[in-house]
Amino acid sequence: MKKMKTARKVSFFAITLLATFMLEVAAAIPCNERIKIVHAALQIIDGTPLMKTQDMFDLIIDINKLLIQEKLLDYKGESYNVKELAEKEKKENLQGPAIQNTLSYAIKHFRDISASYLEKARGNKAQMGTIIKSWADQRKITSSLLLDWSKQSEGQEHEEFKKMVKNFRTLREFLEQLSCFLKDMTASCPKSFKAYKEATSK
Amino acid sequence: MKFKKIYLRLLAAFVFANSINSCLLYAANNDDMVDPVEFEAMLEQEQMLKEKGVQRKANVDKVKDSDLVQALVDVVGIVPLLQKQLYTRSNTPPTRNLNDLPTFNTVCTANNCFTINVFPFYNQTSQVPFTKNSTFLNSYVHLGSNNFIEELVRIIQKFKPELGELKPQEILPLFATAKLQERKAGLYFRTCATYNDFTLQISLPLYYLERNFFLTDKEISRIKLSPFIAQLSAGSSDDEVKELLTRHLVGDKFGLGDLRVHALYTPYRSECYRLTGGGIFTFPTANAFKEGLVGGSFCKKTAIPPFSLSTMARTILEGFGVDEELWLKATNQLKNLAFAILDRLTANVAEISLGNESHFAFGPFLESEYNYNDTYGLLSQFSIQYLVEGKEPRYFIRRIIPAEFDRDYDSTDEKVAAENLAFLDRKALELVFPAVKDVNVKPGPVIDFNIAATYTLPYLRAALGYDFWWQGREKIEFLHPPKEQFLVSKALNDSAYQHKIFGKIETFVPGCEETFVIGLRGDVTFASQTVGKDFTLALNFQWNY
Repeated sequence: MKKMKTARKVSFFAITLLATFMLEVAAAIPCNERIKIVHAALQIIDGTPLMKTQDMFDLIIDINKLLIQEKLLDYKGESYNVKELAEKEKKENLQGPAIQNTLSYAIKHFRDISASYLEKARGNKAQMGTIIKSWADQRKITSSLLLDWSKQSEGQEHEEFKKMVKNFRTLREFLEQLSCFLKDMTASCPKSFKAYKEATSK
Repeated sequence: MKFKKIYLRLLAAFVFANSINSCLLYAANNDDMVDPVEFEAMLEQEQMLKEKGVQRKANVDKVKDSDLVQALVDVVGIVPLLQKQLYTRSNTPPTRNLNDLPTFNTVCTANNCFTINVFPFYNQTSQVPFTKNSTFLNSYVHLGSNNFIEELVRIIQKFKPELGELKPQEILPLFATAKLQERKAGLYFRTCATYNDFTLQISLPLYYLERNFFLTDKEISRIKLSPFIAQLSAGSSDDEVKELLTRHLVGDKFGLGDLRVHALYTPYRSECYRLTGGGIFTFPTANAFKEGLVGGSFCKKTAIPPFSLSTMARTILEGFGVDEELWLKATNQLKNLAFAILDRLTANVAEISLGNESHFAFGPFLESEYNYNDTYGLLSQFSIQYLVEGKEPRYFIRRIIPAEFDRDYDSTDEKVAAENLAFLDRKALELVFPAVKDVNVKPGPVIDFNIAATYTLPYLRAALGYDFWWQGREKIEFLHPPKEQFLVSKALNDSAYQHKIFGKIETFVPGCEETFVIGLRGDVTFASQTVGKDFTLALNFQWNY
C-alpha cells in the first residue's frame, strides 16, 4: 500500500513536470503580461531618440482607439471599432463592397497613425524585423501577420499590408499583436521610460 | 472513478505548472525592464491626458554620454575589440639602392679617359617581403583567423543579419595573400674621368618608382565574387573600381636617386693583374619631382581624418531616420575613414625614398682584375658602406596596456562618461592608425661582393658573375621619450641579403679613344631575405673621349 502511494506521488510529480514542459513549449504568453525583449539593438536604442516612450505611447493609444476604444469606422451608417466589426463580420459572414470599403478606410487610418513612426524607423527595417522575430520567439508565437509584415521590404509595407489584410479578423489580429509588441518593446527600454517620466514630471 | 482521479490530478498539475511557468517567466523577464504596473499606469495617464487634448513634448532629444558609453561597452562590446591589434608589423619594407645593383657596378680605370654612360633600365621585385620571410599581407596586418577578426565577428554576429552580407571572417582573408610589387624604370647616368691612375666616377639615377598591392587574376575573381564586394561595387564599372583602388593602393613617384661617387686609385697595374682601391660616397640627393603619377600620393605624416567613434554612434542614434543630412554625413565619414586606413597602410609600405632615405653613406671599395690571357679574365669587387644615422618618420604600433581599459564604464557621472568616450575614441583611432614618430634611424652597414668571369674579344666583351649583398639590421632611437608605449621591434627592418647572378654583353673598343659602346646588362636574384627577389634589365650606351 505504501509502495502504491509512493508510485502515485512519483507519477503525479512526473505528470507535473511533463505538463510544465508542455506549457513551456507550446503556450504563448498572454498579452496582458509584459515581457522583456532581449535584443542587442534594443539595448542600444534604449534611452536614445530612436526609442522615445512618448512616441510609443502615442502609437499604442492610437492603435487601441482604432481597435477597441473609439468607434471610428462607419459601416452602413453605424459607427464601429475594429473589434466590433471583426465580431460582426464573423457572426453575419459580412462580404461585399460596403465592408471592403470600411476595411480600406480602416487600413488607411492605420497608415495615417503609423506613418510618422514608420518614417522614423526608415532605413532600419531589417533591424526592426529581427526585434519582432526575437519578440515572437520569446512569446512563442510561431506565425503571425506581424511577423510576415516585418519581413516585407522597406517602403512596401503599406502595399503588402493591404494584400495581407483581407478582412476585419486579420486586421484585429494584426493590431492586437502590434499593440502587444509595442508595449513589450516600450517596457523593455527602461532608460527611455525613465527619461519620459522625468520629462513629463516637469 | 479512477479516471476522474487521474483527470483531477492532471488538471491540478497543469494549474500548478502554469503558475510555476508564469512565475518563472516573470522572474526571468522582469530583470532590467519597466515595472509592468507602473507601465500600465503611465500608459493610462497618457491616454487620459490625450483625451483631454493635452499635448506633451516627446522626451529624449540627445543621447547622454553615459548611455552612449554603456551602449558601446555593454551592448556592442567594443572594449575587447580595442584591446586587439590590427597590425602585426609597422616597418617599411626596404629596397636595395639602385647604385648597389651589379648591373651598374662597372668602374672605369683606363688611363686618361673620360666616359659618359646612360643606362635605360627596368627593375622589378614581384614580391617585396613585408617581414623577413613573408611576402603576404597577412604577415603585416591581421587578416586571417585571429583574435582581432574573431572579436569583430563576435560584434557583428550580435546584430546579424541586419548588417547584410558584411562578414569580415569571409572578406578579409580574401586579401590575405595580397603581395607588394615594386617597379623601377628610368635612366642611370654615369660619368667617369681617369687621370694618372686616379679615377673619379659620378653616378646618378633618374627614374620612376612604383609600389603597389598585387593580386593574381584568380585572387581578384574570388574577391569580386564575394557578396560584400559585389554589393559595394554594385553600379560601378570595373574601370571605376580599378581607378579607385589604384588611387589608394598604388604609391608612385618620379625623380632623382642618390648621387654615388667613386674616388679611386690604381696602385698596381700589370699585363695580367690590376688592383684598384678607394672610397665610395653616396650623397642623399634623392628627390621626387612628382608623386602620384598613376596611383596616389602618400605622405607618412598624413593627418588622421576627423572621425570619432562616439560621434558616429551618436549620429546613428540621434539622427537615424530623423535627419537625412546627418546620416549622409555619418556614412561619408565612415567611407573616408575606410580610405584613410587604406592610405595609411599604403603610406607605410609603399611610400619609400628614391634613395637611401636621406642617409649619407661612405666606405672603402676594392676592385681587382686578373687576366688569364687576352680573352679570359676574372673581375671582383668588394665594398663596405657605413650609412650615417638620420631622422626619419616611422610608424609604430601602440602597446596594449590592459590596465588602461580598467575604467568605470557604468558611471552615470557625465564628466566621467565624457572622459570614457574620449578614451574609447582615442583607442579606436590608435587601433587602425599606427602612431607616426620622428626617430633617429641607424641603418645597418652594407657589404657588397661580386665576382665575374670575363670574356673579351676585339669589339665584344661579355661577363657572367655572382653577387652577394648584405645589409645589417637597423636601429632606432627615439627623439622624444617614452618609447615604452610602442612596439619598437615591430617597426625595425631585419638584416637583408641577396644572392644574384649578373651578366653583360657589349660591343667594345679597347683603349680610350673617341668611341661608342652599346650593350645589354642584367641581374637576377636567386636567394634573398627581407628585400625580395628582383631582376634588372638595362641597355648601356657609352661614349669614350
